[in-house]
Amino acid sequence: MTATTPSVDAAVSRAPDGLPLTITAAATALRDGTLTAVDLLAAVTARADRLDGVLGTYITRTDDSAWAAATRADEELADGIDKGLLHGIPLGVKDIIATADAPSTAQSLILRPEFSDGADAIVVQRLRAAGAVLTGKVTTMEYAIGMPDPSKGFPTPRNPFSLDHWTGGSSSGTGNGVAAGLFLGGLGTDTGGSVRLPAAWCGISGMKQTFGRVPKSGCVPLGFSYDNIGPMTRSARDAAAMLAVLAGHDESDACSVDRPVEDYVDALTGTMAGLRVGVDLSFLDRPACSPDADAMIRAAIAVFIEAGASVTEIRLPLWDELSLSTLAGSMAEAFAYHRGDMQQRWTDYGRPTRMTVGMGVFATAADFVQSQRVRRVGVRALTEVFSNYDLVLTPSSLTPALELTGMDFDELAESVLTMYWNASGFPAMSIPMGLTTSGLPMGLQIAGRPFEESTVFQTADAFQLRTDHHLAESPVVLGMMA
Amino acid sequence: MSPTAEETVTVMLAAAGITVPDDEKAEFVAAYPAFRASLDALYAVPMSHEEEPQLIFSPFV
Repeated sequence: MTATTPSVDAAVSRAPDGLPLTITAAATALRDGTLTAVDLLAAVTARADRLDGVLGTYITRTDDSAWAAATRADEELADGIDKGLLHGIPLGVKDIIATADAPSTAQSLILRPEFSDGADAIVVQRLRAAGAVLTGKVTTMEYAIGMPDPSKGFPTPRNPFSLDHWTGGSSSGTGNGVAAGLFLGGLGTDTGGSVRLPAAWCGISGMKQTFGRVPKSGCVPLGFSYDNIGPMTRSARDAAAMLAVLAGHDESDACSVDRPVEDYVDALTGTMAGLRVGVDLSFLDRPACSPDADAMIRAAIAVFIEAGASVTEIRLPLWDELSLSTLAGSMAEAFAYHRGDMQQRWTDYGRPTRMTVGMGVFATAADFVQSQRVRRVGVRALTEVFSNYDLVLTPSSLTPALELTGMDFDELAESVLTMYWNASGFPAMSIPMGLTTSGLPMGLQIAGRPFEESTVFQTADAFQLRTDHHLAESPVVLGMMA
Repeated sequence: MSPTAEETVTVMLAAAGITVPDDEKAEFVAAYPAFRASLDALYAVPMSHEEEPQLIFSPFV
């Protein structure tokens, strides 16, 4: 079949208020003289001033250092000093990642103020070195786990496409902030899907790269052997640009892997020709599955085929077991970290967090070791799958965003389809695959072989050159900005 | 005779030094049997009897 001609040009995409929708569009404008970093910061700041009180995106804004960074970026670009695609770009940072210019709270009363010790996490150092403009610390679920809990005084993050719905978590503020244009990209973390779920539910792109690809020093841990810091952006091209800056070994993280970093942006060829793609549609039979999901993923598959990929239906091995391995294993690891504080300050934790991490009490040492043995079996089985396929597709979740009122953890756990890839450590990305009949975004999950993020990005970018789901603007946001 | 979920939850919380309100203990007791069953299912995954865990110890830091 002949591939369709790419037609969606994110490089020129702008919102009605003039804000470039993507990092790529802003980077182009910063270099062709139609935009300055200061003007760009002014535009996202205007959105933050208008929307943050409703969306619950920020915990701390770092306006002073952001203005200084934007001014410096303009001066450098004028002097011919070009630090790359992130130079002068406003980005948000999840509030479990240390920054020198703002406190880190983990959205909790528990975290000790000296956690970050006035220093930037490695990833933050790398973003600043690339000339990025960091606008502040954004909401998370407490300690990157659980669900919204207004009882401790932190903002409740709301979905830009429907304020009665959740963003997904735990990288909630990064998700709704990117989707609503409070910044053009940001850092999330992903232990069981906390980058990919809010990406899916807020209609943006989010990458959980191979475990160990990005150093996580300076990030509050949740599950030591499952945690990843990953980029969240509107487009896959933007996420590739961010990961190119974030990736690379650092000895401060025991899990960091010393392997060369590919040029992820250069790998974006715009085609899927020759790629073998497996798709697991068995999830569509589950009772919790949204009636919209079937048509959305089949439409996405049609785009893959038109773009030159061969697509075959498969069944992923050990789905439930590996997903449980992530849940139980990460809760055991989290409880080891929180045990002392939970003994002393149980009710200072929000209820969703303490009831989730508290389940780690009930996994024995043998259970934890067995979950790690299952991971090894799973990695072996997936290696066999990926000997026949370059990529694997599933929905990112069975449902669009859940309503804030009445939501419970069981309902959430039933919807998410992301934990599997944390057990394996393989890279997996969520990209938008359209809006449901009720106007809520859903995500398509693309997984690849370890350290082959380039292939995932290539495919996601080729998809987004043929669709415009990632450029959808929330009518709610547009209405509030009008 | 096997301990009940309530007995197990009570002992494991006490062993971990965790004190919780009664309503939260009741929630743990309700959730425990399914959690235990899912953990037990991990032992049913076919594997070599000598399979290693994926986390490998290193003598270096």
